Amino acid sequence: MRLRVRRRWFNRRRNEEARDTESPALFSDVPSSRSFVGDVSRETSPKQHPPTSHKPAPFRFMFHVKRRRRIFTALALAAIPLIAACTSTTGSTGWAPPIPDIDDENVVIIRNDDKKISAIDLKDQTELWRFPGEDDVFPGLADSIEFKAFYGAPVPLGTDPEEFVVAGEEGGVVYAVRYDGSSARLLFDTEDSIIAGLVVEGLTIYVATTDKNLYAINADVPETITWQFQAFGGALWGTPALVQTEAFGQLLLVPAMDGHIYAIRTDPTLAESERLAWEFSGTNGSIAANVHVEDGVAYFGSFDRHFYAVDIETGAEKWSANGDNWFWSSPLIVGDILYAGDLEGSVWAWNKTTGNAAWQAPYPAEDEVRSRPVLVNDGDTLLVIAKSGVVHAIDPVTGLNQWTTVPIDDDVLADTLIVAGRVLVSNDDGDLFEVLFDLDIPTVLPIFPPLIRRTEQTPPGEPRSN
Amino acid sequence: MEFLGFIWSDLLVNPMTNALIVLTNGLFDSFGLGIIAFTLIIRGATYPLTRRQLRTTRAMQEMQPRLQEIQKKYKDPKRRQEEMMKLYREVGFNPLGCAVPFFIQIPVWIALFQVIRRTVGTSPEALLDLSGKLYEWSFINEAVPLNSNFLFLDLGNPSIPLAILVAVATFYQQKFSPRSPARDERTASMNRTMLWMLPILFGWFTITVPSGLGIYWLITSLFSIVTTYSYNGRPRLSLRWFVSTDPLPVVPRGTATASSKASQNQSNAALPSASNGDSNPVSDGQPRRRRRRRRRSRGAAGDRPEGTETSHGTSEQ
Repeated sequence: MRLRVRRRWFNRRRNEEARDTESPALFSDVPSSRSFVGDVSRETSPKQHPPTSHKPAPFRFMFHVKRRRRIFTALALAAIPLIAACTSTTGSTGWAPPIPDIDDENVVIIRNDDKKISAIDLKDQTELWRFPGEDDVFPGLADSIEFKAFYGAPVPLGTDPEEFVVAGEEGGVVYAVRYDGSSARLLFDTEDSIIAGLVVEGLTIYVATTDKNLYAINADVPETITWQFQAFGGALWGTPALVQTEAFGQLLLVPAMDGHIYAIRTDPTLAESERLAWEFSGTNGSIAANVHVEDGVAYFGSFDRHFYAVDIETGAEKWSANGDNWFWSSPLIVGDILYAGDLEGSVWAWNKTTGNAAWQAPYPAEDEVRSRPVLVNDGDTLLVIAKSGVVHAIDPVTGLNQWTTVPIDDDVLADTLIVAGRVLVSNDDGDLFEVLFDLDIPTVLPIFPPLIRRTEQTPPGEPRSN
Repeated sequence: MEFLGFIWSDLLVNPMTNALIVLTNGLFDSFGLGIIAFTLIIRGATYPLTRRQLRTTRAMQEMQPRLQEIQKKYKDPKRRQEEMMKLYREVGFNPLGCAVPFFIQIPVWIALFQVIRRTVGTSPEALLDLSGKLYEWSFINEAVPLNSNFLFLDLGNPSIPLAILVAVATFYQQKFSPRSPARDERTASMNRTMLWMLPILFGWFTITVPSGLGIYWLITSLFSIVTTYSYNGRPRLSLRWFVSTDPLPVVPRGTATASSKASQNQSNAALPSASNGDSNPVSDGQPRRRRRRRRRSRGAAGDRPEGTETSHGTSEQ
């Protein structure tokens, strides 16, 4: 058997070699070592050559040296943009959602197109300030700063907030910035990247990093760790949730990419070994979504295409439901119904207590849903914005479509903000849009940068001066 | 356009993406091993095309003396072109034989590059993008994100030592690649520049991209070195060759039959030999494998004299 295989291999190899050397003219100077069976038929003598001039040869045009050079140069030049397009990398832009200003409801803080934080006046559609400013410097900070992306939302700091805290992904530095944009201060440098949102309780800030670290820091004592927990099994990408339990006191529910939810006791007097209250390991996929807690139950989705409800006192699973793809969006709970979208574009509605489906079928948004659903129009319309930028209005009771808009320019992954009755959406480019749903034809209007610059606007009744 | 997108995504990139994750799963959840195995499989699958390319390049290389002779001999461009065509036809050489396999392989390489870049999942956006490419099989979804630690590398981040390895491997890949002899000093100078420029370029790329892609380039270069070396008859290489800028010595595949050899000797008497001036370190100009085979056949044939008619009706030399 082995011999036969070897012989077959040898025959094949021999044929290949014979093919390779089908033109003896190439090797005429080389002393021939052997000839093969069947080589007679391949012998090439001048007599056997076909006439050269009568029959046009295939690819004859290629034989012209200059033309061939031009063709190959053209092909190579054409290949460069093709290769560049195909190998282009997905850049990090972040999906930090806009937040309202504490004092002025007409001002929102957004992640802008320059990977910085901006305060936007919604009335004037103008930028009030940006952090960091020109040349990446900012009052109160000694060094220049350069951000790669913002994923977590800025969070108000303290009980009577004058500052918000924000962390850029690369570098993992936590800053406190004054709402009026007058100054900022460095709070803590994790020397790691931060994708999870910050959690703030009074002056204590909880920072979860991709390097499996959870830090508790105090805003009054910058650059000092109050306590730290490092026994996570995976990177921390989802925003933790702070909850009060009867059994353990205050807990921080930390989702991790190892598919576990870690319940960490926040009491600063505890040793690291005493911090873990419970651990939920019932998922088979990573958890990158934020944890949402309501009525003693933690809700979150996983990469195993399931959505989970877990008791915050014990860490026991209450229910789980199937999705069509990974869950990365935060859920919205209204009354007894929980709404969540998955990355297949399916929007689901479940009973928050039982996990039973509330709609006959999931709503097909036809593109990934990372943005959290919001309820508008006095609770009559559920707005879901797909990654494609299409705004879907869904009947929250039946799950049927009410209307859809044309896509917003660029992807939308950030959560939607409702402030003073206005629905604001931020896209990947950091542009701000408003969803106008009470018009005859619901539409999406650019807020910042504005469609028409204010300086170019003409007052009603006055002719435009050219 | 949609059809092309379907072919690109659903028939090429998505299956490859899932296959890479399955491989990683099977190889102890090591993404590094997964990339290595995957690169080798893809390169192995496209080896027939690579082989064809090598064959054409080698034919071109060995045809150079005769081409140069034609260029010297015929000043009239039309006549020169005719003679070249005649030569191409005579030796069965297709100028597209080298380019077509190369261009067929380009989409596969780009897809492989994209797959690795995507599965490395360096940013949340990349991971989110990956979700739509995965099949519904639970074990695939559960494996993501992949463990990006491999040896001393974090496959999601660039690595300088790996960049150096890639540059060195690219340098030797260049050295091992068959090159047509330079027609003039300008071409020779360009060849020398390319020998240095490409490794620097690839080394620089490796510093700017995740190490997973660096591993891919490294394995691709090593695979290319091995296949080229093997295809070219595995010539013996001195230590000096490794530190020089000399190309791989050409081991001729002399298997011409007696009659054709005679006719070719006649027609090529004036042409420079393909092995003339060749710094082939192999003593008798033949690869070791062929010499072994010849010894074997000698043993089998005993002391049969040259040119003796065999049972197949051909003569063995």
